[in-house]
Amino acid sequence: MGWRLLTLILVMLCAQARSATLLFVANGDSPEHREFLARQRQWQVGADLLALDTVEAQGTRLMGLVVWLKSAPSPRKSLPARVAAQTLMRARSPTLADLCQQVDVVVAVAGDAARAAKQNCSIPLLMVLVPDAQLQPLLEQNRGPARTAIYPTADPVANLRLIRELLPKAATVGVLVSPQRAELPSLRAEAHRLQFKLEEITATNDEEAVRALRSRVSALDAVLLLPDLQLINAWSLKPILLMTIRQMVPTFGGPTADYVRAGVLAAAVPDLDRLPAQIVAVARRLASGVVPAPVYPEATRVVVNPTVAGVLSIVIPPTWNAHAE
Amino acid sequence: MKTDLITSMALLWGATGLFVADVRVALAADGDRDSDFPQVLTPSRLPQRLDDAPSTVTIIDRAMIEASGARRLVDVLRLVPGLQVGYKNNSLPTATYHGLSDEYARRMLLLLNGQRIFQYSRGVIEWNNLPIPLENIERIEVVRGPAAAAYGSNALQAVINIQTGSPAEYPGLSAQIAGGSDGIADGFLRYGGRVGVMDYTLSLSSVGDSGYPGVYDDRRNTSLSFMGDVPFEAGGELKLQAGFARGDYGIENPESTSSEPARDFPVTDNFQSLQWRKPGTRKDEWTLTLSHNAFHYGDRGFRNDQLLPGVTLQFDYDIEEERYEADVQYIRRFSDRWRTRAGFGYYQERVRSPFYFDTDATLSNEVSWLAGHGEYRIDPAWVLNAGAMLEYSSLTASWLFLPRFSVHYHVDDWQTLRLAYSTGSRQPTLYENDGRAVIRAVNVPLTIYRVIASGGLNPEINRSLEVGYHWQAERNQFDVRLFQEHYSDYIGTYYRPAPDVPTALPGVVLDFANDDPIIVRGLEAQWDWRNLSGTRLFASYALTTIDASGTRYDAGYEDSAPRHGLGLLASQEFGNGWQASLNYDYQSGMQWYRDRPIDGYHQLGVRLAKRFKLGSTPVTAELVGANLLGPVSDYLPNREWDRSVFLRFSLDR
Repeated sequence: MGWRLLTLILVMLCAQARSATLLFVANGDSPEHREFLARQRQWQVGADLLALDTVEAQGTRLMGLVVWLKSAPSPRKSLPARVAAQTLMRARSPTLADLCQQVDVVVAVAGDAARAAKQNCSIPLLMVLVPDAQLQPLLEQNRGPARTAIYPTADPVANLRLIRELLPKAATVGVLVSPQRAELPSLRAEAHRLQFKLEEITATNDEEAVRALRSRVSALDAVLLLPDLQLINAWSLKPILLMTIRQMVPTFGGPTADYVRAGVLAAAVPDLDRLPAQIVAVARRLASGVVPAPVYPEATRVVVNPTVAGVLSIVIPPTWNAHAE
Repeated sequence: MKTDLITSMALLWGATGLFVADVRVALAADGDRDSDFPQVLTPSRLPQRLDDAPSTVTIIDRAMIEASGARRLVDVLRLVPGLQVGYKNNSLPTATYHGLSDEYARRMLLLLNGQRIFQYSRGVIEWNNLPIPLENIERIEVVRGPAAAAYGSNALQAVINIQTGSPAEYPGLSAQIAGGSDGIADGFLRYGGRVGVMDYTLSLSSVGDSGYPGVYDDRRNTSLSFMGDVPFEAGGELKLQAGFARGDYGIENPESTSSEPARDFPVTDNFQSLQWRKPGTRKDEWTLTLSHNAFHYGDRGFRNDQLLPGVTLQFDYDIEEERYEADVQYIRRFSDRWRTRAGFGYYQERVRSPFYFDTDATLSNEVSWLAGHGEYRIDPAWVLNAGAMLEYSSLTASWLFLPRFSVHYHVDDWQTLRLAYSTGSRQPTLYENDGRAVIRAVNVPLTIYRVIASGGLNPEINRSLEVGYHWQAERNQFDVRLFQEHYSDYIGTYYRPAPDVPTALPGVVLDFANDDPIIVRGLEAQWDWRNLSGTRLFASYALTTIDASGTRYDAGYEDSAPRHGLGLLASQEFGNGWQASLNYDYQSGMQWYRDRPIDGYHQLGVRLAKRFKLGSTPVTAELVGANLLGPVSDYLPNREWDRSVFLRFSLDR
């Protein structure tokens, strides 16, 4: 659903943009790929984009979407890059390297595509929905074209604000962190602003996270889960939720909305419906030669687990019901 | 990733029942939301909101256990309104709810993670020697009131469900040592890890002290326990538990008429259980549980050649007991309004004790049952519960129908009124029905009888009616209830003439018989309050009155519960890892069944704890003091617990 909306909105936004050509690539074996295929017919009737079934990238099979940003009343007639791409596709199964020579910016959706784009393309690269652990190595810049990203998770400070919204009287928030976690300074500043005592519980792996939280949980008013799969993952979430719920301590955040479905009380997550606007804006800047720093999604939505809210006797404001999951 | 996560979350069902609805939400692809939020599992075996449960529940969590400074599980129960704890001997702590019990209290049911366990053919709970270390207990749910509709026999007065943590909660190594006055010397080791997909925990515990001052009643309880969780790829899991415990006790009875010498004896318990949980569709789930537990009370007694000239008498208290049990549960959600549970089970108890039954044979009793429960939400304000059990016992060769009903009215998001009717039952124990306790001569053919049970007993039945009010907001709860319990066929003891056999008491033996009705009325309140400055307060009060005016064998029924009981646990987190707690309880005078009266007492304990790091290792140091207001007699007037202090260090790696 998210991918469909993302694509449709991308089409609309790209149609209004100035001249530039973007290549979107995604893993062909992923669920996103299947969604991609399902939408192919509709996309092909559009004037500004071209779907590519198979893009070869050194053994990785990707799906592609070429998007021409509008620059003339009839872009279909005036975009030689499109002709070149069509020619490529008709002639043979296009390679990612060949396609990249025809476009201004490559937008890689998720980790496999990002890795392939990094290896095969020498044009600016924008990475979206790439898991945090995979993103950092890809962002490490030595030489080569510009690279940036939109992080796959909401800014953790948004979850701190969420805690204040739902627990106006909360005083102490525990946060499980790896040493030297990059978000810590901004979290500390926001916690200070929101008048939280931020209890930093340091751990280097998931087992240590469980062990460290266990001895502290009863003294906390809430626990913030950062999107750090080294600490918070499918294994550690179970004991963390068990021990926090028993102590009636709500948890917030986590890498994805699935964590909320599983028992986290609430989280701010990227709003995929509104993410394309940010993607196009960042891509345009990349195309114009500017290299913006990686950013969090500008648009977020709140997901709430009403079951857990009930267990903890936390009343969710009625106006939030539309976002409950 | 999503699949893994959901699989992981599915395990929460079996762990505590806390997350049933969450799992359903997680498994639902889109929007099939569950409007219920389960919080307790014990009252009906159907995960429910606390304010929708058909019984009143006291929840004691890990933080309360730690704050109490308790070294034994049974002492934690002093916080529960209406529940009495006493030690006739250091080797035999006793807990009962609303009195009506001797040192072999047998009218409450003890569960481990929802499974009937540790309770054998005599109905007695060996509180000292449970093969579950206190450190692994994360939560105790005490259902106050009968709950036979869910559990059958023994759920007569209350049900205590001990819930351990999931093995995944204990990764790495934990260690604890404690030492102090009265010979206190405890140790604990636990290691948790993963083998393939299985999370496991192995725990070794040893707890010991010198008991009552001036009495030879030392004890040392050592246990080894294992827990393992194996998740299945397609959902569901297998939970494995096993434990072994050995208690080494000293005992002396200066008041014995048989010149009973001080002596040592061992007690061993072991259990194994296997629980397989299999989700069906999003709407239902199956659970199969198989368990076995065994108990050996190894007091071989003593010999006496003074009582009868030329005759050497053997007093022996050795008894071996065993239980096999199978239990199948099925839960189904028909709609957002209507949920049910159904189940059936079977267990067999065996007991062998030549000196309690005057036979070398193994006696047995078999119980089969069929039960169901339904919760129906009429509208957001009104909820109905109805459940029942049909139980058959081979000992009484009779069927019992044990129903329960409750109506709940949610005044608003926080307040609920309830009206509940519930029944409890207790099948007679093999000893009450078939007991023949004897003293045998070893050098002449002579058997002297102490007990001869006439048999033919009816099960005890408790019919309870309560009106309650519950308030809950975030982490704070308050509950108050007015209740009346009507006990019929209470199994009491009396002495009857036995002219045809040699008897220990002149011409009489002890026998058991159903008595006339006993009425227990009272009021109970509990308040669990936490503020956001690290303060936690748990307070409870119980007013209990017993009307046994029409009974035939009254041996102090009316005084067997204190009229007033008060419990208080307050803890405060300070900065820099400091924590302090205070534990107080008051009980007015009472008299345990067929024993001497004891005065009311005040008991105060304090605990001061400091968390710090030793290198990178978190360490907790605790200083705990008990009975600080002076000596306390909780069972016999001439046995007093004195002030005691101990130090405890814990670390996790």
